[in-house]
Amino acid sequence: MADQRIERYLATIAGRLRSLPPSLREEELREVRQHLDALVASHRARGADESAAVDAALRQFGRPERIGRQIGTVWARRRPPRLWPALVSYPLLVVAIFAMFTLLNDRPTDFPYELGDRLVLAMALPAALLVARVSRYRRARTAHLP
Amino acid sequence: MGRELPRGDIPTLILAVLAQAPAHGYAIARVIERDSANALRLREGSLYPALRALEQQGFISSGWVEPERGPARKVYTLTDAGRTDLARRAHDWHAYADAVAALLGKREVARG
Repeated sequence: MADQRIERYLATIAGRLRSLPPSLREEELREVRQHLDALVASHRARGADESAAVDAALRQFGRPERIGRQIGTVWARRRPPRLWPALVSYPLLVVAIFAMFTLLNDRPTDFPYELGDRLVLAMALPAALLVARVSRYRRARTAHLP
Repeated sequence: MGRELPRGDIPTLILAVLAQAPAHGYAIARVIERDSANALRLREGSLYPALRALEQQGFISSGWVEPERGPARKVYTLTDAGRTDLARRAHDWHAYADAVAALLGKREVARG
Protein backbone atom coordinates (compact mmCIF):
# COMPACT_ATOMS: atom_id res chain seq x y z
CA MET A 1 0.00 0.00 0.00
CA ALA A 2 1.24 3.44 -0.91
CA ASP A 3 0.19 4.77 2.49
CA GLN A 4 2.59 2.36 4.17
CA ARG A 5 5.49 3.91 2.36
CA ILE A 6 4.60 7.30 3.84
CA GLU A 7 4.27 5.74 7.30
CA ARG A 8 7.67 4.06 6.92
CA TYR A 9 9.16 7.30 5.68
CA LEU A 10 7.78 9.16 8.71
CA ALA A 11 8.99 6.40 11.00
CA THR A 12 12.52 6.86 9.65
CA ILE A 13 12.38 10.56 10.43
CA ALA A 14 10.90 9.81 13.86
CA GLY A 15 13.81 7.49 14.51
CA ARG A 16 16.21 10.41 14.21
CA LEU A 17 14.10 12.49 16.60
CA ARG A 18 14.10 10.10 19.54
CA SER A 19 15.73 12.67 21.78
CA LEU A 20 12.83 15.07 21.37
CA PRO A 21 9.89 15.18 23.81
CA PRO A 22 7.06 13.13 22.28
CA SER A 23 4.74 16.11 21.76
CA LEU A 24 7.41 17.97 19.83
CA ARG A 25 8.25 14.90 17.76
CA GLU A 26 4.55 14.46 16.95
CA GLU A 27 4.32 18.07 15.87
CA GLU A 28 7.29 17.68 13.53
CA LEU A 29 5.82 14.55 11.97
CA ARG A 30 2.41 16.16 11.64
CA GLU A 31 3.89 19.00 9.62
CA VAL A 32 5.92 16.69 7.40
CA ARG A 33 2.93 14.44 6.83
CA GLN A 34 0.84 17.42 5.69
CA HIS A 35 3.52 18.48 3.25
CA LEU A 36 3.80 14.94 1.85
CA ASP A 37 0.02 14.63 1.54
CA ALA A 38 -0.09 17.91 -0.37
CA LEU A 39 2.68 16.72 -2.70
CA VAL A 40 0.87 13.43 -3.34
CA ALA A 41 -2.34 15.32 -4.08
CA SER A 42 -0.59 17.63 -6.54
CA HIS A 43 0.91 14.69 -8.43
CA ARG A 44 -2.42 12.91 -8.51
CA ALA A 45 -4.02 16.10 -9.85
CA ARG A 46 -1.50 15.92 -12.68
CA GLY A 47 -2.71 12.44 -13.56
CA ALA A 48 -0.37 10.14 -11.66
CA ASP A 49 -1.78 7.06 -9.95
CA GLU A 50 -1.51 6.71 -6.17
CA SER A 51 1.69 4.67 -6.23
CA ALA A 52 3.53 6.93 -8.66
CA ALA A 53 2.33 10.01 -6.81
CA VAL A 54 3.71 8.70 -3.50
CA ASP A 55 7.00 7.80 -5.19
CA ALA A 56 7.34 11.26 -6.67
CA ALA A 57 6.35 12.97 -3.43
CA LEU A 58 8.88 11.07 -1.33
CA ARG A 59 11.63 11.71 -3.87
CA GLN A 60 10.73 15.37 -4.02
CA PHE A 61 10.84 15.67 -0.25
CA GLY A 62 14.27 14.10 0.14
CA ARG A 63 16.03 11.40 2.14
CA PRO A 64 14.27 10.86 5.46
CA GLU A 65 17.44 9.90 7.36
CA ARG A 66 19.12 13.14 6.39
CA ILE A 67 16.08 15.35 7.06
CA GLY A 68 15.44 13.69 10.42
CA ARG A 69 19.08 14.08 11.39
CA GLN A 70 19.16 17.75 10.39
CA ILE A 71 15.98 18.56 12.30
CA GLY A 72 17.32 16.66 15.31
CA THR A 73 20.58 18.61 15.16
CA VAL A 74 18.80 21.95 15.22
CA TRP A 75 16.72 20.93 18.23
CA ALA A 76 19.78 19.52 20.00
CA ARG A 77 21.33 22.97 19.98
CA ARG A 78 18.55 24.13 22.25
CA ARG A 79 19.32 21.61 24.97
CA PRO A 80 21.18 23.16 27.90
CA PRO A 81 24.84 22.13 27.86
CA ARG A 82 25.94 19.70 30.56
CA LEU A 83 29.10 19.70 32.59
CA TRP A 84 28.86 16.35 34.37
CA PRO A 85 30.33 14.26 31.52
CA ALA A 86 33.56 16.26 31.78
CA LEU A 87 33.57 16.02 35.59
CA VAL A 88 33.11 12.26 35.42
CA SER A 89 35.69 11.63 32.72
CA TYR A 90 38.39 13.68 34.42
CA PRO A 91 38.98 11.33 37.38
CA LEU A 92 38.70 8.37 35.00
CA LEU A 93 41.42 9.86 32.83
CA VAL A 94 43.58 10.54 35.88
CA VAL A 95 43.25 6.91 36.96
CA ALA A 96 43.94 5.65 33.44
CA ILE A 97 47.06 7.76 32.99
CA PHE A 98 48.31 6.91 36.46
CA ALA A 99 47.79 3.21 35.76
CA MET A 100 49.61 3.56 32.46
CA PHE A 101 52.61 5.16 34.16
CA THR A 102 52.59 2.47 36.83
CA LEU A 103 52.37 -0.42 34.43
CA LEU A 104 55.11 0.94 32.21
CA ASN A 105 57.36 1.69 35.14
CA ASP A 106 59.39 -1.47 35.06
CA ARG A 107 60.99 -0.40 31.80
CA PRO A 108 64.24 1.53 31.73
CA THR A 109 62.64 4.71 30.46
CA ASP A 110 62.26 8.31 31.53
CA PHE A 111 58.78 7.66 32.87
CA PRO A 112 58.20 9.12 36.32
CA TYR A 113 59.13 6.69 39.06
CA GLU A 114 58.05 8.45 42.25
CA LEU A 115 54.41 8.00 43.18
CA GLY A 116 54.01 11.72 43.68
CA ASP A 117 55.41 12.50 40.23
CA ARG A 118 53.11 9.99 38.62
CA LEU A 119 50.10 11.41 40.40
CA VAL A 120 50.93 15.00 39.54
CA LEU A 121 51.45 14.19 35.87
CA ALA A 122 48.31 12.07 35.72
CA MET A 123 46.31 14.98 37.12
CA ALA A 124 47.98 17.69 35.08
CA LEU A 125 47.71 16.11 31.65
CA PRO A 126 43.92 15.88 31.40
CA ALA A 127 43.50 19.14 33.35
CA ALA A 128 43.93 21.16 30.16
CA LEU A 129 41.05 19.23 28.60
CA LEU A 130 38.90 19.78 31.67
CA VAL A 131 39.59 23.53 31.72
CA ALA A 132 38.71 23.79 28.02
CA ARG A 133 35.50 21.83 28.57
CA VAL A 134 34.48 23.99 31.55
CA SER A 135 35.06 27.24 29.70
CA ARG A 136 33.11 25.94 26.71
CA TYR A 137 30.29 24.97 29.04
CA ARG A 138 30.23 28.41 30.65
CA ARG A 139 30.19 30.13 27.26
CA ALA A 140 27.39 27.87 26.08
CA ARG A 141 25.36 28.59 29.22
CA THR A 142 25.37 32.31 28.58
CA ALA A 143 24.77 31.90 24.84
CA HIS A 144 21.78 29.73 25.69
CA LEU A 145 20.01 32.61 27.44
CA PRO A 146 17.41 34.42 25.27
CA MET B 1 16.12 21.22 -15.89
CA GLY B 2 16.72 23.18 -12.71
CA ARG B 3 19.72 24.06 -10.61
CA GLU B 4 19.99 22.23 -7.31
CA LEU B 5 19.82 24.78 -4.53
CA PRO B 6 22.84 24.78 -2.20
CA ARG B 7 21.76 24.12 1.37
CA GLY B 8 23.29 27.36 2.60
CA ASP B 9 21.02 29.45 0.39
CA ILE B 10 17.79 27.95 1.66
CA PRO B 11 17.40 30.22 4.73
CA THR B 12 17.81 33.31 2.54
CA LEU B 13 15.10 32.13 0.16
CA ILE B 14 12.76 31.28 3.03
CA LEU B 15 13.16 34.80 4.43
CA ALA B 16 12.56 36.28 0.96
CA VAL B 17 9.38 34.23 0.50
CA LEU B 18 8.04 35.13 3.93
CA ALA B 19 8.78 38.80 3.25
CA GLN B 20 5.98 38.61 0.69
CA ALA B 21 3.50 36.99 3.08
CA PRO B 22 3.30 34.44 5.91
CA ALA B 23 3.16 30.88 4.60
CA HIS B 24 3.33 27.24 5.61
CA GLY B 25 6.12 24.91 4.49
CA TYR B 26 4.42 23.49 1.41
CA ALA B 27 3.46 26.97 0.21
CA ILE B 28 7.04 28.20 0.69
CA ALA B 29 8.25 25.41 -1.58
CA ARG B 30 5.67 26.29 -4.22
CA VAL B 31 6.58 29.99 -4.17
CA ILE B 32 10.27 29.17 -4.58
CA GLU B 33 9.38 26.92 -7.50
CA ARG B 34 7.09 29.47 -9.09
CA ASP B 35 9.06 32.67 -8.52
CA SER B 36 12.28 31.16 -9.77
CA ALA B 37 10.40 29.91 -12.87
CA ASN B 38 11.45 26.39 -11.93
CA ALA B 39 15.10 27.40 -12.14
CA LEU B 40 15.73 26.40 -8.53
CA ARG B 41 15.11 22.87 -7.31
CA LEU B 42 15.31 21.75 -3.76
CA ARG B 43 14.59 18.68 -1.68
CA GLU B 44 11.53 20.13 0.00
CA GLY B 45 12.19 18.38 3.28
CA SER B 46 15.33 20.46 3.70
CA LEU B 47 13.08 23.48 4.26
CA TYR B 48 12.19 22.19 7.71
CA PRO B 49 15.61 22.14 9.38
CA ALA B 50 16.15 25.62 7.92
CA LEU B 51 12.79 26.80 9.28
CA ARG B 52 13.64 25.44 12.74
CA ALA B 53 17.02 27.18 12.73
CA LEU B 54 15.56 30.50 11.56
CA GLU B 55 12.96 30.31 14.30
CA GLN B 56 15.62 29.59 16.90
CA GLN B 57 17.51 32.65 15.72
CA GLY B 58 14.37 34.76 16.08
CA PHE B 59 14.10 35.63 12.39
CA ILE B 60 10.72 33.93 11.94
CA SER B 61 7.89 32.93 14.22
CA SER B 62 5.37 30.12 13.78
CA GLY B 63 1.90 29.17 14.86
CA TRP B 64 -0.71 26.56 14.05
CA VAL B 65 -3.56 28.22 12.18
CA GLU B 66 -7.05 26.77 11.77
CA PRO B 67 -8.36 27.55 8.29
CA GLU B 68 -12.07 27.60 7.46
CA ARG B 69 -11.70 24.20 5.83
CA GLY B 70 -9.11 21.52 6.21
CA PRO B 71 -6.64 20.72 8.96
CA ALA B 72 -4.64 23.22 11.01
CA ARG B 73 -1.41 24.24 9.34
CA LYS B 74 1.80 25.59 10.82
CA VAL B 75 2.27 29.05 9.37
CA TYR B 76 5.55 30.97 9.49
CA THR B 77 5.86 34.74 9.71
CA LEU B 78 8.85 37.01 9.24
CA THR B 79 9.84 38.95 12.36
CA ASP B 80 11.39 42.44 12.41
CA ALA B 81 14.75 40.88 13.12
CA GLY B 82 14.17 38.60 10.16
CA ARG B 83 13.39 41.52 7.92
CA THR B 84 16.64 43.19 8.93
CA ASP B 85 18.58 39.98 8.40
CA LEU B 86 17.04 39.53 4.97
CA ALA B 87 18.16 43.04 3.97
CA ARG B 88 21.69 42.19 5.10
CA ARG B 89 21.65 38.91 3.16
CA ALA B 90 20.33 40.65 0.04
CA HIS B 91 23.05 43.25 0.27
CA ASP B 92 25.74 40.59 0.69
CA TRP B 93 24.34 38.56 -2.17
CA HIS B 94 24.32 41.51 -4.58
CA ALA B 95 27.84 42.48 -3.57
CA TYR B 96 28.95 38.90 -4.19
CA ALA B 97 27.15 38.69 -7.54
CA ASP B 98 28.62 42.02 -8.65
CA ALA B 99 32.12 40.90 -7.77
CA VAL B 100 31.78 37.63 -9.68
CA ALA B 101 30.24 39.40 -12.65
CA ALA B 102 33.07 41.91 -12.69
CA LEU B 103 35.63 39.13 -12.66
CA LEU B 104 33.80 37.35 -15.43
CA GLY B 105 34.10 40.52 -17.45
CA LYS B 106 30.40 41.21 -17.73
CA ARG B 107 28.47 44.41 -17.07
CA GLU B 108 27.29 45.10 -13.54
CA VAL B 109 24.28 42.93 -12.76
CA ALA B 110 21.11 45.00 -12.86
CA ARG B 111 19.29 45.16 -9.57
CA GLY B 112 15.55 44.98 -9.13
